[in-house]
Amino acid sequence: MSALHFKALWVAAGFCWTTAAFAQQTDSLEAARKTLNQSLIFEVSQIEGSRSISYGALRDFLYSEGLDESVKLDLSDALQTQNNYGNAFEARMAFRQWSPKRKLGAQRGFEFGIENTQVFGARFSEDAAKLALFGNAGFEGQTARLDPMDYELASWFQAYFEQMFRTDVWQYTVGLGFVIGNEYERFELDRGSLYTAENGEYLDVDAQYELLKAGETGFVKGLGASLRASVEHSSVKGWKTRLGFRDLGYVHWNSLSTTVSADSSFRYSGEEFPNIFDLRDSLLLGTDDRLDRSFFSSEESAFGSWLPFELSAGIERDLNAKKGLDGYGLSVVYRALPGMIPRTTAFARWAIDRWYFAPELSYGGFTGAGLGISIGHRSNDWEWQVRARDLQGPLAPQWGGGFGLDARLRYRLY
Amino acid sequence: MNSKLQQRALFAASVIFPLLFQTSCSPELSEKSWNVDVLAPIAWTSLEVRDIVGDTLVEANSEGLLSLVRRQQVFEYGMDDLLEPYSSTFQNTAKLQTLDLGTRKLTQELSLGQIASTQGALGNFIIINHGNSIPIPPISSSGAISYPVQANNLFTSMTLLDGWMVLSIRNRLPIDLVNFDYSLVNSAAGNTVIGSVIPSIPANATVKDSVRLNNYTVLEGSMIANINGFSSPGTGGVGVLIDTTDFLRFEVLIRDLEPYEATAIFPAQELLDYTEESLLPTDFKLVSMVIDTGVLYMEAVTTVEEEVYLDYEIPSATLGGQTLLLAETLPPAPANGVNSIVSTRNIEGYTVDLHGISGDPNVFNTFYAHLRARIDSTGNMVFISLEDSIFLITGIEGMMPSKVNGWLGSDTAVSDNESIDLFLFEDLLGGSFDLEAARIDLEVINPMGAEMEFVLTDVRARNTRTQSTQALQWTELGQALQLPGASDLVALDQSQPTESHFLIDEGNSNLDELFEIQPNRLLYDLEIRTNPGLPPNYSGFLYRDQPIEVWLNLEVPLHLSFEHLLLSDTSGFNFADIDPEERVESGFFSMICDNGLPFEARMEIIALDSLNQAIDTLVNGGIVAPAVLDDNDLVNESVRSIFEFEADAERIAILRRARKLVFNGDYTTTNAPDRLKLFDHYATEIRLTGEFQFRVN
Repeated sequence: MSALHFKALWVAAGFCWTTAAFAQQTDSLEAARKTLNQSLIFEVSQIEGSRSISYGALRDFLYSEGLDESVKLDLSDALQTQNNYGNAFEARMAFRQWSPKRKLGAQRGFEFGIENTQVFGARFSEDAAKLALFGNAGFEGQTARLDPMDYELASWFQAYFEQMFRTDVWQYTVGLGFVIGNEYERFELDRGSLYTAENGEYLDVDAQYELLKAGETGFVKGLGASLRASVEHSSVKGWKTRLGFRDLGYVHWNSLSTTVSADSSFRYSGEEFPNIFDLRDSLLLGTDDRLDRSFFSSEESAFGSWLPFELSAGIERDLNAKKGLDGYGLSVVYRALPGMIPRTTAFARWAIDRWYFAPELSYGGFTGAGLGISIGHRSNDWEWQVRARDLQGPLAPQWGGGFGLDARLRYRLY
Repeated sequence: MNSKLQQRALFAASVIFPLLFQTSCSPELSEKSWNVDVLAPIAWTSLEVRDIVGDTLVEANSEGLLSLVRRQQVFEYGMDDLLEPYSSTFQNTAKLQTLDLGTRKLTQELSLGQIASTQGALGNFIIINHGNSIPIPPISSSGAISYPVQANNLFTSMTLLDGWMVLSIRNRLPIDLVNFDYSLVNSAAGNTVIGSVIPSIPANATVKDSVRLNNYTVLEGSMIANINGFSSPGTGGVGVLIDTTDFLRFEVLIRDLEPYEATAIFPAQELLDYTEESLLPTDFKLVSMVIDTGVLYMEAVTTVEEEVYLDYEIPSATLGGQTLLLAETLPPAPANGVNSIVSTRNIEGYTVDLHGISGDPNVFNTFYAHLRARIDSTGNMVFISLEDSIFLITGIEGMMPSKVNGWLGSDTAVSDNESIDLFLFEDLLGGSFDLEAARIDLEVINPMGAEMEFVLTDVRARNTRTQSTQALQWTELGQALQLPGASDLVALDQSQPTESHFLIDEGNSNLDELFEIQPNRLLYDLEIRTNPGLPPNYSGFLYRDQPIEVWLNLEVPLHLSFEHLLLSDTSGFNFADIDPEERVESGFFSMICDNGLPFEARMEIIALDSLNQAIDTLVNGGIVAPAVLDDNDLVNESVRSIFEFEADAERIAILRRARKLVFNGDYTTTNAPDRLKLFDHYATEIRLTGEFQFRVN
């Protein structure tokens, strides 16, 4: 069983176990939201995928024990001129409280919690992928275009506090987070090509890139802060529109961090040895040194980076039906990662007493078009929801581009 | 919040909370391993003629025409051939010929009161009349008186070969003494050392008596003086003032002692003083030298129970104004035992005058050494016997000068059948070549302060592989080649040598024939004459580190042809240097040669293991085509040849065991036997590329 499958099952099993223990009387989600004064919120989500590479090829490449030729060929066949891959894992635990009284016409509340966020996004050319998979022998007499290529890996732990206000129509939230940076790596290749001459007589390398990497110091590699805010408008006909952002922050990574950059064109003809009759010199080691000087000029120092923030917007109509169509809507979410495009999701929700389910159609994010479904259960004290995204990935791996699984639990304390 | 809710919240948190600390959700590509096909240049070189024949062997003239040049020393003649290291040993056994105990003097007084107290009633009468004037009656015979004489503070005992004891008796008594009978006996042995009867000792007079202390007379430091008796005429009835402090004074003087042995406090004295000249065994007439190497040494064994001070000195050897001195203190020997020391001194840098003790300018090659041994007075009572000895070995070991001054003689050194290896064509394993020209500059460097002549009587070149020999025919063979004397740069401590050059070329010799047999050995007969027919000149000099040197300066312009010239070169090789992490699994290697040299090369590359056993042939007989020539026989265009060889996993494993690569080349010039000129800019570009499976991670 792959690591991803194991992780998803573990999350789902934990969620079901929790909800079973808390199952009590039910009510509508909106009713619960209006009456809950204190609640605990638990959320976890995992998603990965690619718009260009099938989920099957991707899964074989990423999670198979070894990379035999068939796996490489499958992946190669799936490549397009430009490709992307990304994954994200988020876990959050929060406490929320609303004041029962209004001041100046608004009800106030706050939320504090902790989050663990790990995201990775990359885009790369077909040539770059083939070069990595098969080497440059297949490019004899040709130029491999490597640009544009970039990736960003970020992992951070965050404790945040959020202040909330709501009236009958508007709800505002604004919050501040303290960020502990765990991992960060960003690579940007603005220009890159490799020409392999006939018989491998020489290699012409042309590259302009920058690589930032946080220092190796354990759990805390950087410190920073982030902002989050949202605004939501509710109409009398059940329409709600929402706009927000989060993780708009900055992290200062420690002084053991590394910056590597190059802007160079270079013809490599092999290591020159002054006498063919004396081969004692380390040829490839000498090559490494030379390449290091030209392409891996590194500097060890602290640097700062923006967090890959997330923007979201949505419109939804809540019909408050106890049976039948309960609501529908459209949302757009975007996180600032290489290869990621805004993910647009349309959904409709049907209710059956306390249960509801919501099929969805989406496009964007790490993947292309996707099909998903949510299943949830509501009561006065709790609400849980499980959501599977990009179901076409596991169901039709030959063309599906990814898979995601979310779980959410909210429980009323008082 | 009620307790049930708390439990539920805690339970939910325990499930969800660990997710917050999931480390990473991205797959670890760095843990994956796969193979890629890498096509890359590995190495390249520009192979020139100088790489083939050795970089230091080739020079280009202003037109770029290459010449094979070689400078090789073929003969050396210097001080080490002319002088042997000098060593000399001197043995001295210093038995104590004499012991100086000095002059010892003892004084003892005997008062009238002391004498009277031993004389009965008369004595008492005298004592009670102290201060009165009374007549002293005649004394017919006195009683005996004995008293100790102590010399223990000077000696305990001595056995004398010779010496004198002189006894002085001064009579300060108021009466004359007659028939004064005395003796001095050793208190332990009881034997009388001296004794006699003195007929008369007048009042206020001094008389002396003496005895010779010879024939091993034993004298103890503790003796007893006896007055056996005396008589006196008295005062003849005349009253005299009686003073009981009046006295008889005995003085014992021991002098001119020649002890055989003694336990005594010895005064400071010389035990040994010895001087000896040494003559350097050489035909030179040297006036001085500076020592380069050598050791002055001294070994000493003693039975003397006193510290012995030893000085071994070469007074004519100086360094910084100080003479060469080896001074040591020989510790006292234990009773009935011996003690010894060994001491050495490096004598490098000392300048030695070689005119001998006398300093006579007509004395040469001579220096001298001076050995002394002495004791100091320590105030200690010690036993020393003439049987005691100091055994000394002194000398010089391995003395070689760094420079000598003087007449270097007039001599002829003959060397027949001298033989040296020639390192001109040692990489040539076969084939032949034909030279347009060749020349040798015979360079002779004379750093000696003497006129020299150098005579080559016979010169042969030999190829020991083919057993062929070719004799040199040169117009100067058998002629005396004059080598002027050098100048002495004293301040720089070195010679300014003269250089003489003698040309051997195709105009005055058959030199090209010698080279064409590819010799690896040179045989010759020669004579070296020093100061031939010249009178002595003592301003000559010779430095040890500057011998006469004869050099061959060879120059062969590479205007030649060759056929199947076989060259072999072996290079160290370790595949781990190329692939330290063993990530190359297999490959297809290409060697691309763009030959700009006007000769064809048939290549063979063999891999050897650590036991020099051939384990693989990488290139077998591959032909590198020659460059294209123009109408003037100059290279017009290079020609490409490609050698390919596949290295599967098995072959890579073999290569990993390789420790050497042997490059065998068979070279033939284009259009041979027509001669070509090889220029400096001719080169072959060689590129080694590989398409190999490389393991990522």
